[in-house]
Amino acid sequence: MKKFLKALIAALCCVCVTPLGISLVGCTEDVGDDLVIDDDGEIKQKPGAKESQVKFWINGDENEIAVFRKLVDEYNAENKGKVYVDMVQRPAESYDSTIAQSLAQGNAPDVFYVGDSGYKQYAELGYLYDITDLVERSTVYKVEDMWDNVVTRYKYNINTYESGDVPGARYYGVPKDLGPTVIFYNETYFTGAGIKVLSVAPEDLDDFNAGGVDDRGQTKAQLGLGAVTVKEKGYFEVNGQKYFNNQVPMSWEETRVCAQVVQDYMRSTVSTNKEAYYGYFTEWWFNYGWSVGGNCIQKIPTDNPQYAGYYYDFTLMDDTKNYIVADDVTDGVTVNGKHYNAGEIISYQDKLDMSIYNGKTPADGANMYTDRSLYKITPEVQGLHSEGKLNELPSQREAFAEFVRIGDIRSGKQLVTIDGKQAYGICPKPNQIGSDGAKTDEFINGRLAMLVDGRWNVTQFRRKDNNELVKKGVVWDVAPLPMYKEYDSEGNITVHGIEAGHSGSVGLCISKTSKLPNAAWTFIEFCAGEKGQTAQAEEGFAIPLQKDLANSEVFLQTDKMPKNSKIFINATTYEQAGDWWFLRDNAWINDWANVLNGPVRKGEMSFDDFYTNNNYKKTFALLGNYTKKR
Amino acid sequence: MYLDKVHKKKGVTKEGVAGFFMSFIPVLGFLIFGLIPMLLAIIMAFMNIRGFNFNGATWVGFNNFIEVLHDDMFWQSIVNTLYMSVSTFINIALSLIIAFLLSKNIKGKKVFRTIYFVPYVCSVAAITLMWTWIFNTRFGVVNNILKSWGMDPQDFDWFNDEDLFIPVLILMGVWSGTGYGIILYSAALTNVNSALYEAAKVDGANSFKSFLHITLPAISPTTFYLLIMGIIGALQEFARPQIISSSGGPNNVGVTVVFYLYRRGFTYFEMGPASATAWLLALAIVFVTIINFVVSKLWVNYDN
Repeated sequence: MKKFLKALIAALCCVCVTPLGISLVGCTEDVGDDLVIDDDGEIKQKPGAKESQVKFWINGDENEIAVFRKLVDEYNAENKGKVYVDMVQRPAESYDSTIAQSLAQGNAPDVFYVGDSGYKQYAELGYLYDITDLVERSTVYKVEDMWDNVVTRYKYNINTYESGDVPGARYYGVPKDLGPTVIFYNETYFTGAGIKVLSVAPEDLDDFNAGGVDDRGQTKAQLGLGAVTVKEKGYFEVNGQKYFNNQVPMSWEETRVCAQVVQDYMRSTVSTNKEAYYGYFTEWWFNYGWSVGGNCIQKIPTDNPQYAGYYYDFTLMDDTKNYIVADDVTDGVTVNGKHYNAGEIISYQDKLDMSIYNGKTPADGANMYTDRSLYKITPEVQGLHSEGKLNELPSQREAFAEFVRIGDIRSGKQLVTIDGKQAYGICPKPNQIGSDGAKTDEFINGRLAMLVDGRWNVTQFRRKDNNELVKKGVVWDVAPLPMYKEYDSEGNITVHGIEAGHSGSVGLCISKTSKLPNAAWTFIEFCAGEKGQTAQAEEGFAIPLQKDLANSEVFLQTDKMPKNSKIFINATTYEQAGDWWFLRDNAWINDWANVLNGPVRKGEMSFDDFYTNNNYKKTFALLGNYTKKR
Repeated sequence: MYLDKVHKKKGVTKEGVAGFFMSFIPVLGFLIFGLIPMLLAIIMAFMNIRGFNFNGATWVGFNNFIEVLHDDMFWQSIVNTLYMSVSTFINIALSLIIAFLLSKNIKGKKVFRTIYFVPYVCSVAAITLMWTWIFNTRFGVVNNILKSWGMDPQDFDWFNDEDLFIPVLILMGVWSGTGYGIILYSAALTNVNSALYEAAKVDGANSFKSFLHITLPAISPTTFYLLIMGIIGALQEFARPQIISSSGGPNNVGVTVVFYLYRRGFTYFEMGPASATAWLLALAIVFVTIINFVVSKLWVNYDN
């Protein structure tokens, strides 16, 4: 009995101590030695140092995993004995929450993906390694060779809560990739619908009209446009013949007509389930709002000591007109002390009489907003408009209404009216598509003629296995996003907005608790450098960060669809991150977006009710939390 | 006799040491994974703290509680949770009916019990994903059936329609939770004293009256147990709505109290309000349980 008890006690002690021991071992896991930065700023291994064991978490589809597996293997081979990267694939669905929890617990991997929407919160909480010095010192990751609007996406000032290239901002990540959004269109359907496709950039129209060829080697005569001067239109009709220029942004009206023509054709080719076929699909309003200078939030300066110098007003439904400097005002104009060049849109802060905000806080927003008479365009802007120096553009609300209007929103069988104009019924409702994957499937399966989405789709559209596009030999290509335009009777542009849209990006970050930040950085450099970017571009799912590389055959791949890949490059120059990137989290978006993508876009809630809805109104107060001093 | 001897011994005994170590493991587990987090949650509930970083955290008294109690979303989450907890009552009623039917002499009784119990032991995540496919607006079995009946499947957008979201969750809860109740009720029903039925029969009671006046009171402890555990479970609902819609469902109808807590704590890293919510929920559970125990004296009969 005595022996038994002793054995039992010993066993229990072992049981108790083992997990403790394991956890202690875990805490002191040998990850090797970090690389060091020498006096010349070069990152090197210290003599006699152990190999750095860098842990890297990744998620993605099989193509992405395969590309990164290859990259990691290549990196490990190049750095044998110096750095070893251990790549661990994590489930995509729970990736964000797993990262969040591991960062909070202090056991995050050295390198990991973070969406452009999520890194700011982590930076504020001190979970991310400030890589500014490493970025600025790098001879591999050369910011000057890259797209400005992309690399600065991961720059953030944790004290003023401002993003981008602003004073005091630091780098917390590096874009792993970049996915600009464009229109993917099914050219086979276009041809079937009697639409001839030409490919002439706006700057090449004069040459084309003078007898030159388009990018497909077609002349005007071959296209049946012999005596016609081709205007800067994305979609047009001449003598009953329809044309689509895949290098010129369509106006909102052209988008509607083109989508309707193709939709009618698609539905005429099927005998059942016709209502599942649509001419167009987009789920983002950015392109509409930003094209006229609108936005969902606007910065309001304040000297209220509670705030970091400003707060945000919720302006998704701002109904004040926007203004753009007319193209022929070559000297530009000065508004509110700020100079604007021709083709630039006057900012919200400069077009409005901002005295309405004096002494107000975000908590007042919901009440302020209901009284529209408070919001006034300044006499200065009105004067410049009267002089013809500024052209009037639709308000953010009008642009937003146009976006909602494309939906197949019905009450019974009838299309509903949105802000006095009937919906077009050319785009499925969000619930008809359901998920990110579904919209891609709809395009692949021929139920969407045009799809607004990012570069990341290309890999899937090219896949040979189980792909209807490939099986049916469908011709598809890409075109620019729509843009606000008005024409005169001869088809010349009289008023236009700007090209606008959003691009997606995922960043690579280093955790603050990493014991190997320098070694981790060399791996990030490798991924974001030419080798890493080439590997991703070759697979088709991203545009390289390096401008030269993007403009080379590595990305353009003219032997493959989409032939018009330069559209992505143009889009990259002006596209920015979506509204999820604006602030440190999405709490301010969830409530109103839920209502927008639910009842509003399903036709169960009117446009007016949307902005008097509580979920919409409480956003004003929620926004106040983001710039309060903490 | 043995125990008497043990009790009479003074000081440290071998049995005492053995007992201490045997109880040590669960106690240690409770300390690490229960008590310490609970204490931390109490502290954090009174602090302005972002993430788990106590550096820079400030004492804010009851502000977090006040803030949570003034948050419309918190109250909506309570309404959502209570609505979803309807499944508990349906579960109990359905379990009783099925268990009662299975207590009769029918063929394949054990097979039925097993079939009913299978959903209970299945992974919540797997079951939830299965139901999302069943109720998928475009490809789901349910909408295909509705379509074959001439209805427009678009009208039944189960997970995007705020009126349909919770009823589907209730259905899922009933489907997966009934089996447990059936097993417990089956055991309880077999333990009802048969002499009572015979006596009632002699007194002229019909089957319904026997069920009402003998069976129900006799199995009331089981009903009480299922009710308590069901309500506690329902108040802690999280996984299913979160898996179906990580954003909280249409108009946030899928946001339960725990979902709300999780969102504030692990999405927005607002640990103060999240901890305050946890304690409010704990208090609510204690309150509901006490009420249940008090009221149970009126209807639970432990004298079989």
